[in-house]
Amino acid sequence: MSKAVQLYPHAVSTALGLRLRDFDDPASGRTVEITEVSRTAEDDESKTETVDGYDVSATRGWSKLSFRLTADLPTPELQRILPPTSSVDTDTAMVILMTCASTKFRHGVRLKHAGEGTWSGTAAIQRDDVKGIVTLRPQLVRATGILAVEDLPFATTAGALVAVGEPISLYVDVEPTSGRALLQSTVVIAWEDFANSDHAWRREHPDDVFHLEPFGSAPHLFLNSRYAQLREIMESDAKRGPEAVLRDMAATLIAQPALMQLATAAISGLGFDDDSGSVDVPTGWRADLLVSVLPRLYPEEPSEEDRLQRAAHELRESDGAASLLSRLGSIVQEMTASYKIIESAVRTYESSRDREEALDD
Amino acid sequence: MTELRRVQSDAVVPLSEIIAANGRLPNGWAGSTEPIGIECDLDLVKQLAQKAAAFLPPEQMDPWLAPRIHAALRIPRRVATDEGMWSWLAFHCQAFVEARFRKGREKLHPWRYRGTWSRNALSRLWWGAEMTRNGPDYSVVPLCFARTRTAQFALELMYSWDRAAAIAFARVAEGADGGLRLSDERTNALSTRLKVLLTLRSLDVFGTGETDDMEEFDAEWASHKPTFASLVRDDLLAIAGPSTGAVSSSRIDELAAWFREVVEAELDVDLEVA
Repeated sequence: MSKAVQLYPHAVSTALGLRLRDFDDPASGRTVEITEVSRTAEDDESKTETVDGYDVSATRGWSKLSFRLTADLPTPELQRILPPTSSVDTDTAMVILMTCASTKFRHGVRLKHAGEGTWSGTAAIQRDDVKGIVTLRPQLVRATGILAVEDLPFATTAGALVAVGEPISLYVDVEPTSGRALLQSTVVIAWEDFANSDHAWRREHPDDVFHLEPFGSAPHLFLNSRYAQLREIMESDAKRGPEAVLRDMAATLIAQPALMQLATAAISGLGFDDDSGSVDVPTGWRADLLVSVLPRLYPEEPSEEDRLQRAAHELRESDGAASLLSRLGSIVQEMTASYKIIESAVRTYESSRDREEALDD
Repeated sequence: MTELRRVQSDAVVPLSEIIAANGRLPNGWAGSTEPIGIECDLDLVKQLAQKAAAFLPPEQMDPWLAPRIHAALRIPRRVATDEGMWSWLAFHCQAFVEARFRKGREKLHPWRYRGTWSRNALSRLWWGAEMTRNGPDYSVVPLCFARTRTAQFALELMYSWDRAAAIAFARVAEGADGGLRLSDERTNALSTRLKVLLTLRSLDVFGTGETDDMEEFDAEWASHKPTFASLVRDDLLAIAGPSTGAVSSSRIDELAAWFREVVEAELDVDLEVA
């Protein structure tokens, strides 16, 4: 998969790390339950797991969330990006940029240098100010300028970024049934016995679980009523337990490919005018879906117009289209909160196993 | 007070198509809405929108209505992300949507009823006011909405989520920093240049290390209900917004000075080319 690489005109480290801990609600004084979300990077020789998110959605009642932030940068990296005459304390500032794309929340939190390439501080957010995901990006910034008569390999202007790190996601709202909810809000769902359908394609595929028609003014998702128990489970109102897990797993099984098809259809609807360079945006559900998908697909692009331009360009190039589809697969997993469904399934399995073992005892 | 409602997601598109085409909604459309759990003074919002539609030319509607709609609709950002709610409000303010956006006999685009935050006729005003108010002070909001292009470039890029940057941008674009008012092309060019420059630079070291207010929603302010008479007075300084979300004037001034430098650097380049 292709990945954009930012080039800087001066030495910049990308090894800045950020960790969050001590989550609590200062309004109620209660601890807020969190789940660490990690990703695994694997190469031929090793496998490393990095925490790149914290899910606080399980605690419903918090109105304010405070937490401690710790950033670190290895000393050799500090020495590489700052001239020997610069002081980390007086010539740099560690800023954690907190943003929430849904609410356009953006605040920089300054951390204090605690020595040996470590900075720490606290931050607090109000629930009313954010929705969905809050992203935290660590940035070490040059706070003072350097008067240089010759070109230096270091940043010399105040405000220049000298170290950056991978962003951390704070999941404020992740609904376990979001796969089902997303589908219900985007498509018209109909149950039909595929074997007896008027539609030739469905009749020829009588064993399929679903068939999506991603066209017209509203996309239609046909579910095969031949699987009567599937309907029963999909319409279950269970809040927890095996029934809820089964429902959410089944919904995600259908929601993921369906959303992938819908998103592909929506992006394919973008037209590009070579003369004016403008992008013709589709209307209706395609436009609505683009609004959900593109900010997740191109978080680094600052405006709606930039995101539309980039999607339209990528679509026209074979490598670009392949890369876009690859990333879309990840985005759809995030939209359907796949990890959450699997975690919930594992927890349910573990608690049922514990109960069985207790009975055996 | 009225229960704030949202148009259900499966009804937003068909209803907005109908009202944009016919100028009215089908009977029973309210059955496709649902409450969102908070109250608002719907009559006040409708009265303000009606006043703007009836007494102002289209180009003066946005600067007048934006701060007043914000002061009338005291909702948190979390609630303001609900597009179905903005559709419900826009449906109720149809006269304003028509007066502001219908051009002659052209068809009104349905996204003025159902669109994203920057396209829905009312949400764009609320969000613009929210992003350019300085604490309780709405005085820059009309500058931001002085021209559609200023609002577009001041609000749509990611740096404008930084309130001080959005305010500084509006002041420079409209010449309120003491410099020349920028043309639409120069405003666009400034926005593009800032986007590029800010890939190498942080906005957060401007302002001598002062920390801006981290909170946006002011629940205490939201609990007070303004009257129509208090919101239609001409003196905008007499209309108080939330006490939260204040930024330091030194930070705005420093950012405005830098933005002006960027404009002038571009002018120098143009002169050299000429």
